[in-house]
Amino acid sequence: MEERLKRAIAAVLGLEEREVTNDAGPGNIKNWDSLKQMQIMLALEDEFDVRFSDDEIHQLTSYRSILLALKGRVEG
Amino acid sequence: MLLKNVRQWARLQWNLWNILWRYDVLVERAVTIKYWRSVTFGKQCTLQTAAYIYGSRGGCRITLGSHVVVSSSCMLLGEGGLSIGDYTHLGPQVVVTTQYGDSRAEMCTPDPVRKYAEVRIGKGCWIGAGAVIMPGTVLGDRCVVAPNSVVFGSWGDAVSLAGNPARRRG
Repeated sequence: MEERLKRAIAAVLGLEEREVTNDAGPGNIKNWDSLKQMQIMLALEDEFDVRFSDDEIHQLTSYRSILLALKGRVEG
Repeated sequence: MLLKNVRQWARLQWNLWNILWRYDVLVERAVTIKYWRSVTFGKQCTLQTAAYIYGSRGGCRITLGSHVVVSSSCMLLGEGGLSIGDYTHLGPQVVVTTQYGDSRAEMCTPDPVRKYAEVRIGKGCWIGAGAVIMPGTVLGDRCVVAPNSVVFGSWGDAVSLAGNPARRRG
């Protein structure tokens, strides 16, 4: 799952997969802005066949928090 | 003050005449086209009343294919580059924008930081009234967007989208 997640985030941000580290977020990836955040969440919904709430779309703003939310859904 | 407005009005009329001279476009009343040199049309496009097209000052292209219909009060902001495929129909009051603000930058200035992302809309798409197509959106061919949807992201061919943010409905 982690590889798929990093691949999906990297694709939206136009980065190499290795550039999406476990600490990745808007603070250390310059073009991870509010527009990219929306694009990332929609891309992940499509990739993992899940649905995020409006609050989650705005709150899951780091690789770690997204991974945690996805694990709860995909594995739970 | 008056002179400034007269000059702007004359410039916009000049822009329209240049488009009408060069392209096979039906232009209805009160259509505005800015930076017309960056805008190209295919054959038999229609710009309905009060359509507004803002071209690019930065070298990007705004390309409308053939038989594209831009309905009344649509707004196309093409600073970041925009292409619309043949036979695509934009319903009334559709907004396609290629620019957005940077909330992390200083916004209270006469010239705030703006960010740009190209929008590509494929052939034969139907964009419902009032929909907003956000910067960076890519729609494949024959997509349908429900009225008042707000579209982000990249989508393939023949996808139906609805909602805010718009999600796949079929």
